[in-house]
Amino acid sequence: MAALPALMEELVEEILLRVPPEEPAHLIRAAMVCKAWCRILSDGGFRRRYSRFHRMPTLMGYICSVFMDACLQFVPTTSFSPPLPPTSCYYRARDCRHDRVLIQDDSPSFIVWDLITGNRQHLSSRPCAHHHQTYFSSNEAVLCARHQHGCDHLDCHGGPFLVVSVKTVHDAGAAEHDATYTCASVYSSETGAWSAETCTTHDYYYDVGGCMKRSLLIGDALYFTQAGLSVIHGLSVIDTPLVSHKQAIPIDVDGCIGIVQYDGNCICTWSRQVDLNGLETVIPTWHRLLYPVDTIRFVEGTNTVLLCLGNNDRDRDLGVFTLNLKSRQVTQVAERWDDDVLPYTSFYAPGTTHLCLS
Amino acid sequence: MAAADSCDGISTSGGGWEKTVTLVSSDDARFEVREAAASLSQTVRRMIRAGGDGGIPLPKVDARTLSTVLEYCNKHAAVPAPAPESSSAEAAAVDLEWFDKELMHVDLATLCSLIRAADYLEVAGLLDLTCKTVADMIKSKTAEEIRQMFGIQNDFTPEEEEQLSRENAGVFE
Repeated sequence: MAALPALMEELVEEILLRVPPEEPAHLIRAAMVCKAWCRILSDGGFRRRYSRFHRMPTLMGYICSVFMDACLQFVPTTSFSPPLPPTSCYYRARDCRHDRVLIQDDSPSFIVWDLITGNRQHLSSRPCAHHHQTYFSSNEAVLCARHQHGCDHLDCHGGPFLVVSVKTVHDAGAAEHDATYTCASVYSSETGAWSAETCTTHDYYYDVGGCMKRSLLIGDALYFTQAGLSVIHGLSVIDTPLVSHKQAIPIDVDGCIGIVQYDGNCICTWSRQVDLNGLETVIPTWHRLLYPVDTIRFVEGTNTVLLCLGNNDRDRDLGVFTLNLKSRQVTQVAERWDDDVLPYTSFYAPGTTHLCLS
Repeated sequence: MAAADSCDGISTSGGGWEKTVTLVSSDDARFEVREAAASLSQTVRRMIRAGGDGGIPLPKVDARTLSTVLEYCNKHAAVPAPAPESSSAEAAAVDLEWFDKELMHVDLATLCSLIRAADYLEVAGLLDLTCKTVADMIKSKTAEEIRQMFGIQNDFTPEEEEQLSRENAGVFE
């Protein structure tokens, strides 16, 4: 074949910008073509353009606890496969966001594991302000500390982070009447300390914990199932029309809070709509599948749910699939589902590692 | 149509709203094309506004490439303003998609010429289409296969190559 007339560097960049993000190895291989291509791909400006162009991060895989092996594992859905720290059977992955995994160790304290740099940071335990707790449930979220300041999370790995801990307490002996309240405290890696607690009391006991109930970040607000919490505005409880149904998790519908729930072969998403008169209605959208849904996770920022499908005839699961809630496309991504599944999404471009040549 | 009114000085013809302009390729081939189609190129649109005689010279685009660019422009400029969610708008979108796919059935050298032309002429839709086509071609190829495709020399030293593979070895399968 005749040699091609060389394309200018900015036109090579236009081509590389359009390499689909679903497999990060595509760009890694392209970076190994020559120094010029490597330079383009390692540049921070390119990564920013790339994430803006494709808008949605890619599901890279999920972290789960394998009880048989007594450890945490990363199940890849692309060729990206970061090593996880060695853990014991008492370790649980509690949350995963912005390239960091929050792990509860056996102390009971927390470790934040950076999936890109491999660094681990131990957190001090959250101080306990209430002494008459009869029972409580808790949940935690990890996020980049610069999220509220507009960080695009392309280069923030290794940087400061926040851990938000929410605890719902039923206090039987504190006063004349029983009290139920939800308290939140925020740990900052920059100060190395937990903030003072923000509390709200309510009539009912809200279970914020459990392996089903991963937190959801939309804009600057963090949501925990059955109890709403805004990082900036303090705590607020949001009523949902579906409190009776346990198999429901919060989702992001075009930047607003919604709910997805499943029952048998059906998945239903609920989204809020406000009409011209300011009246709010909740709109259901049904997705019917050929096989029963065993369990489900929302993949933050991607309009996608990760689900484990059962098999009508056999005991074994059919496998792990993604369902795009907009296009309704179903894709198998893995074979095995374990406990405490936490989806991991990222924009992985070459410069994210140390692939910068002098 | 302010742009149409101001281009009377250059070779426009035809009555009513179907004005045409003449584009001249680097090898002196002349193309008479509807102004609405030619205006998909921001470069041409600016030259129409500036006015001039004897057609618009495009010294960086040869006749073969220009004819493909104009095929794209004629097709895309013919599409009426879409009435969203109507069945005819949907059919038109499917037809355009099919047309684009067919237009991209060319070899890599032609694609690269089209990318350069789309960039020079500032036809955003064509630049996106051609770059996306090449991106889809390279996405599943190894570094060596990509080098062969484009005739690129590997200018990494063996040490640098080893460093790159090492850095990704722990992370990628």
